[in-house]
Amino acid sequence: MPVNIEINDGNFSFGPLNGFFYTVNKQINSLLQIEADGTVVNTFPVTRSEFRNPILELHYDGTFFWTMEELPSTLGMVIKKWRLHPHKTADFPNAAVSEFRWQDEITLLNLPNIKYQSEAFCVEHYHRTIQGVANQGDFTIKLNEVTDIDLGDVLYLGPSDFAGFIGQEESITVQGINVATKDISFFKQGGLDSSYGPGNDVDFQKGLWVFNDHSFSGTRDDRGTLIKFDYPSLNLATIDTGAKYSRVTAADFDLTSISFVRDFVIMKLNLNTTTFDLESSLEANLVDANKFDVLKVYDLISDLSNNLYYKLQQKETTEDLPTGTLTTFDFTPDYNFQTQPLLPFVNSTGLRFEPTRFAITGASPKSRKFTVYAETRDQFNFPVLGKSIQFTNTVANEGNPGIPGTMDPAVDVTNVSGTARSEYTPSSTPTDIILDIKAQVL
Amino acid sequence: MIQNVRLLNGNFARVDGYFYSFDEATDTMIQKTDDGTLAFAYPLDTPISREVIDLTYDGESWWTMEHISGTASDGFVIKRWIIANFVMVLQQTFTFATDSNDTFESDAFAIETYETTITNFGQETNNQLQLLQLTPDVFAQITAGTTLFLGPSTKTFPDDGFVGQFLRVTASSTNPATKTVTLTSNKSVGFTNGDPVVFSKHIWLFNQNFLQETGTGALYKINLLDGNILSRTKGGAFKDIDASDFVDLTDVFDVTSPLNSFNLPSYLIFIRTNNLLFIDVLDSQLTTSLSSIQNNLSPDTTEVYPVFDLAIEGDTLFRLQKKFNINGAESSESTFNYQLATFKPFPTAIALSAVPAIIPADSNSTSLVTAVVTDQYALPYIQTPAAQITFETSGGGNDSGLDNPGPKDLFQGTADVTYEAGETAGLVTISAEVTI
Repeated sequence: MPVNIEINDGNFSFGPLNGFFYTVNKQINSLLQIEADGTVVNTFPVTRSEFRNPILELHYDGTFFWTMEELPSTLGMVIKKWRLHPHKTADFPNAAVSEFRWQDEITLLNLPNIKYQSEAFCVEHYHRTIQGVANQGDFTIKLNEVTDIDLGDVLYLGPSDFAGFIGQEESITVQGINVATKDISFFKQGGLDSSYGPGNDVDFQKGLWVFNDHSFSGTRDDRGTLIKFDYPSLNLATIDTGAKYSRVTAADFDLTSISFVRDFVIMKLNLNTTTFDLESSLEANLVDANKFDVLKVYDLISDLSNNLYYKLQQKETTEDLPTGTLTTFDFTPDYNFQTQPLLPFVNSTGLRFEPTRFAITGASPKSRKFTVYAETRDQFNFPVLGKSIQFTNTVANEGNPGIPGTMDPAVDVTNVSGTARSEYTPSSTPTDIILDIKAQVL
Repeated sequence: MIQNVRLLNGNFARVDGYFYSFDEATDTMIQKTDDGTLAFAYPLDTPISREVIDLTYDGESWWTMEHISGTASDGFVIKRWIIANFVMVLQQTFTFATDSNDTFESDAFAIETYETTITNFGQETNNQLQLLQLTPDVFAQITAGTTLFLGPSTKTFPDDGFVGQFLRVTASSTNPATKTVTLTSNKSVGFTNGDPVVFSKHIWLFNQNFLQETGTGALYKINLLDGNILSRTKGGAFKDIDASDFVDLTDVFDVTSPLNSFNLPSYLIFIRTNNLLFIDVLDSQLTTSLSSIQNNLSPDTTEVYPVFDLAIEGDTLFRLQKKFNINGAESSESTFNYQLATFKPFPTAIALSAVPAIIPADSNSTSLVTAVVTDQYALPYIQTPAAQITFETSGGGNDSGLDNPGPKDLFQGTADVTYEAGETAGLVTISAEVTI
């Protein structure tokens, strides 16, 4: 079912309420909260800023939304930080969200040493939960995990589900970390404003990762750069250069990994590794039915816990499994998402022949049989073990009529190298025929 | 209509059942199945600005050719890439820019590559390799500095062993008597006997020009390690070449075949109009050893369809084209697709001659009709067991006909039949059909 959210802008994200998608609609200058079938359930007008160009990406980090757009006159890019406002706090326990309020922005102006041209960024953010109960007035909280938390980090707590503090949120600045007990200490006048129950959310951001099409050469060289800006200091923390970072049209951060879309593939970079080696790369079904045009992904939601990517597209190719027929749907000017699983499945089967003899006639002795090998790969291009492959051969329309040969075995199971095999024996057809030999996953 | 791989670019390579092609529009090497389905894509770590006009894989590295500018006679670059961490990583760039010595203008090159297996000394922490299966002249190609690529390893011990691992090593010296290579350092990965070894020696490129003499055609031999020109061979056969490759034809031809002497591991092949030409690069004369007719000719024989690149798998040749002759009908595509050919000989022509060519209708005269069956190499078609031929007639006078028209065995590619005159005069057409 290719049509789902039918949004008007090429940006979307998850948000504070599970089960909903969010998108910034530039025409009505609002953040929309929508259901998976496209029903708009809430609208939050933009306040304290405005959009001048299409919003290229929207991200949600557990507390804040982030957008990216081009600056006017090709001056560069701007990333803006937003929050649904007002939110409930100890001082305003009855507040109700009514606007999409600007909080901060990072301007990436073109400089003599770099030209900014980007369609993708992500917010390195982490999600933790309260262990036990954190009571109003406490100066220490216990978390499920304290990795990636550093002194000085701002942690956003809530919304609370503790009776008497329902929905309330607040922030604290880390002053001490006990790795053994997973206690976080902080200073706040009077301690915590609110109480929090077990499992209540704790979120924090570490930085912004921007995919730039060009390197620090000062020219539009398409060499690609991934740049990390610490947040909130905005210090340039890390740079990695390579064309794999150019032409990136969508990115997202989840758990500990950055996932990004570049033409046909989604690549994953795990920030827990000290190098910039990719953790994986997968073929993401981004080819038109004509088998050569690439389909653009405008925004990406990475849901690694559920082994799923959500790709926002204006075109989508689907396959009718019984016939193998490919169809590309064009939703333009709307956008819909297509899911891409991370769990491995057979994504391609390549055939090779030994000996590679293609001219066989009926007078040929049985010794002229040949072996067909099917090499199966998953979307990560790794071999797939233990799949049943059915081998068939039919006489192609392009050649003379005749009787196809036989494949033995008709079904074989792929080995550890992802290979299944079957031996072809010619028929008694006395003239040259052209065969279509297929290997299909059962 | 012939649509299979549906590539946007006129370059491709075939490896383990998949097709690969560089796409400069997306700075990606794409991997496709036979029907054009995208299987995977490798982003390039370095962008390319011009279309890749030739691609070849040597068992370890991917080699590409691009023009330097929009003017072909400005020269070209040849680049070596490897797949590392899901990305195509540029390793080397050789620039052949037109200068005061040479006017470089080329659309095709090949990498001289040899494959063999380890026969001894494969173990780790050892600086030797024995490669007994190489012929002496191929072994002689391994010299100090030659890089060999080993693997994948099948060594399963100690512990988890080295299964699936590869290793790039460099030769320090060789002993031709024992076919042993001493490496510059100990191997860090262990291998067992039978594990694959490949090494590449030279780049062969087809230049439109010889030095600055334009339009003459020349074959250039390049040191693969440093890009230096080792030799230039002038020849019109090397002009207007769009597709070439390097092939090992060992064991391709049957021992009973007249082509048996061409079972060599060192052929540079290239498409010249509608012929596939073969040069044994270990023959210092660089003469054309073989020529194989190709069906990239229009049905009316007025147009030669360009072949943009070649790919090889075993004894099968894949020709990358946009126009095709399919059973006598022309097919034109907007994308690049392949058409198959084979190195294995098969009958492509039957020449019939009758002596005498005219006989009186006297119910007594005879004519000996001889059929010579030739393969794509224009050599007599010979196979074991023998192929069979059947003669037929149409027309002719009353009571005329063939004596024992077959099927009968071909001997050394030939067979004959006697045509006997009838009582009345008439034009007769004699045809023959071969069954292999």
